[in-house]
Amino acid sequence: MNSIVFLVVIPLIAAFLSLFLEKLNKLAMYIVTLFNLIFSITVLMSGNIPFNVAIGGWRAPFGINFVVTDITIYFLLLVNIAALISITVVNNIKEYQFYSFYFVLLAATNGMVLTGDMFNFYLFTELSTFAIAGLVAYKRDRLSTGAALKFLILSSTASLFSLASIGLIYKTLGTLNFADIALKLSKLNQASYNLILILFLSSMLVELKIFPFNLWVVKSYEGSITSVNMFTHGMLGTAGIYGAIRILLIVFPNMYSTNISKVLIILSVFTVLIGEVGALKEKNLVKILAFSSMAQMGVFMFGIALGSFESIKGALYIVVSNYLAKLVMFLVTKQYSNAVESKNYIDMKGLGRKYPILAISFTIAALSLMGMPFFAGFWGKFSIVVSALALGKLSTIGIAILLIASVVEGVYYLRISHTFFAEKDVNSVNISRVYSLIPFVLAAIILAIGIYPNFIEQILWNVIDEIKNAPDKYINIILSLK
Amino acid sequence: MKDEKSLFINIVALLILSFMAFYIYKVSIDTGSGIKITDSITPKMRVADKYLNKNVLNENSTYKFSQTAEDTSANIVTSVVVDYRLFDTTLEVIVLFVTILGFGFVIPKDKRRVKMPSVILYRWAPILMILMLMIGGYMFINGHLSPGGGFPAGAIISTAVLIGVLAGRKTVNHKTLKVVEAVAGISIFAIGIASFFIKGVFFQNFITGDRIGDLFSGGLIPVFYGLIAFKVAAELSNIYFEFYEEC
Repeated sequence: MNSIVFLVVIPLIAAFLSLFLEKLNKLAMYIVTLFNLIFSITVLMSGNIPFNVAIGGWRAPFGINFVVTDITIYFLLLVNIAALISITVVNNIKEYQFYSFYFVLLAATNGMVLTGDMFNFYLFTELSTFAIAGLVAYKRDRLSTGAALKFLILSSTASLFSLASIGLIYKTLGTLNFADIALKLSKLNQASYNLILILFLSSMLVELKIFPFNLWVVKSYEGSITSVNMFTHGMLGTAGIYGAIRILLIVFPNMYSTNISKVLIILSVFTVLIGEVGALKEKNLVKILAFSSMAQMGVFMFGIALGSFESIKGALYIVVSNYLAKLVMFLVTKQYSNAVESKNYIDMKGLGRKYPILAISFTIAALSLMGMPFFAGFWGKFSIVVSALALGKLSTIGIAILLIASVVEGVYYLRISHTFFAEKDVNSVNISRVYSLIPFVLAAIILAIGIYPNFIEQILWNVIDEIKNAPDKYINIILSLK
Repeated sequence: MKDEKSLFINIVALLILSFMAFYIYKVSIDTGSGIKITDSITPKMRVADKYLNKNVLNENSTYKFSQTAEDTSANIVTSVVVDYRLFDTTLEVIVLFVTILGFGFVIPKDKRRVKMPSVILYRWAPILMILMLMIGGYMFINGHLSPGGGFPAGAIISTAVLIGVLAGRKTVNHKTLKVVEAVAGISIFAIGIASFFIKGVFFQNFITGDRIGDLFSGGLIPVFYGLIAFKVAAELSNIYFEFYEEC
């Protein structure tokens, strides 16, 4: 399966071609995204997983390699499906730069998920942040340019830290390959290990929107158009989550024996609190979604920081439910705010009576984020609560705060849903019914996962099995390749 | 008032920095067991050891004048940059591309009145440009033999364009630069794909068997360096035009 590199190379070629295609750019966007999606589905169906690809023919620790395992292929699908859904809301964009940035972002997020090399991962992260910064600045007004610069400064500082950490890894261990690092890391002195992990973690937290590093989130969501919001959430966010899972759980597995996991618990609780309280006061629907996505990432990080396999399963559920729910919410917000030409949810009063499918999809997504039974988010919060109660004082206090915070989340989301269904004359508003289709399908998937979780449970246990047996299922596959 | 505030911020920043420096110092003198930050694992276990001996694929491959070795570039740095880790290098090129695209996209454009340059600069510009083009060309053609290579060569070539801009002479226009950039970028990846269809592996050097030290050796390495040089030159020239028109 050497051809997996096409997933990165084809979008990059398209990025150069888009300088000249002008009106055909939109067509090219659909073709390339569909190619990526279909290619990753064929890889999933081919039955060759897991496999390892050495780029340039240099075997694993010496060259750059792409690895496809269970975790990789599911995240690859998530990234490419998010790309396909997001580009359906792209219209009336003439600037060729937008399309070039999109192609680079597609290549970079696919590469982040595929790569098995530390420095290669760093480069893909860099590429995706530059592309997102360019996309955020698309409106070219004061707000969006400021948001883009803010994001750029924060992520450049973060990448400086991660570069320092990669340098230290290469200095001490003499290798850059994920699997090789994981194998040799046990020889490292505890203090050096902590220094490297702290440096790398602080750069990862920027993309994961965790508390001291998440100042870019709200402004960049507010300042950009809906499709860019969905790129940031569905593509960059998902690839960042993949990076966290791969690097924290497989490359640095000794993290739980240090104090760093406790620090992570405290930071994630703060993230949840700030996200929920910030959203409570807002009237702008996009800003509310930005705060809420911060809070959801806090819950995810809480699950990862606890470190038991049950809680990691819960965190993965949170990822899936947040991924689906936010896509629904952005699509609904786009249609409603276009119809009333305002992003304030009070102006959208009564739209739910005329267009009930959109409003019901929004409500289902909101209930799933809150963690109501029979919705996808419930299983995630349930697993996290169960394992947090068994793990000592700090995690018990943390989960108590998290549950109070989800009540706050319920207050503001249900307030919005209520406003949608309140009575008001809205005959002048017109939305084509076609736009209800995708939110409806996604909301149905959320319900299906909530009621019948066995299918997704099987996939998640496969993923956790890979984390549990990392030496067999990841490290040996890579290093045995000649 | 403003000075006092900035002084305060500077002191805080220095305190944070000194705290971090102290932490790193503590880590480096830590007497625990295992590898410390200041020392490294044995050279034999490092990846770079195999790079230096050029025996990643074949144990017998040696680095000796007028013999064949792994892909036969006479310059170890070039071997690492354009051979062992070629994929990283191509991505670096994309980073430059995205940065400059974003720069042209975000910064608003104002036309300004261009001041006429002095006669001396105007007359000497072509001579300087020829010199710079020669040095740049030499650098990327000899990139696999001596220090240098695609990135510095591209930067030097682009200074020729910069002098043209400053002297007010017509050199290249935006459209040409865009075409050069795109063609060079696409060809880098096209060669990668070609190697997939010839050898079955992406970005592999499929012209092998040359002798170390020849001008025409190293297979695809000089080709890649040439493409990178043209791409970097086109991109940097683009940014000179942006700055010149903008400020």
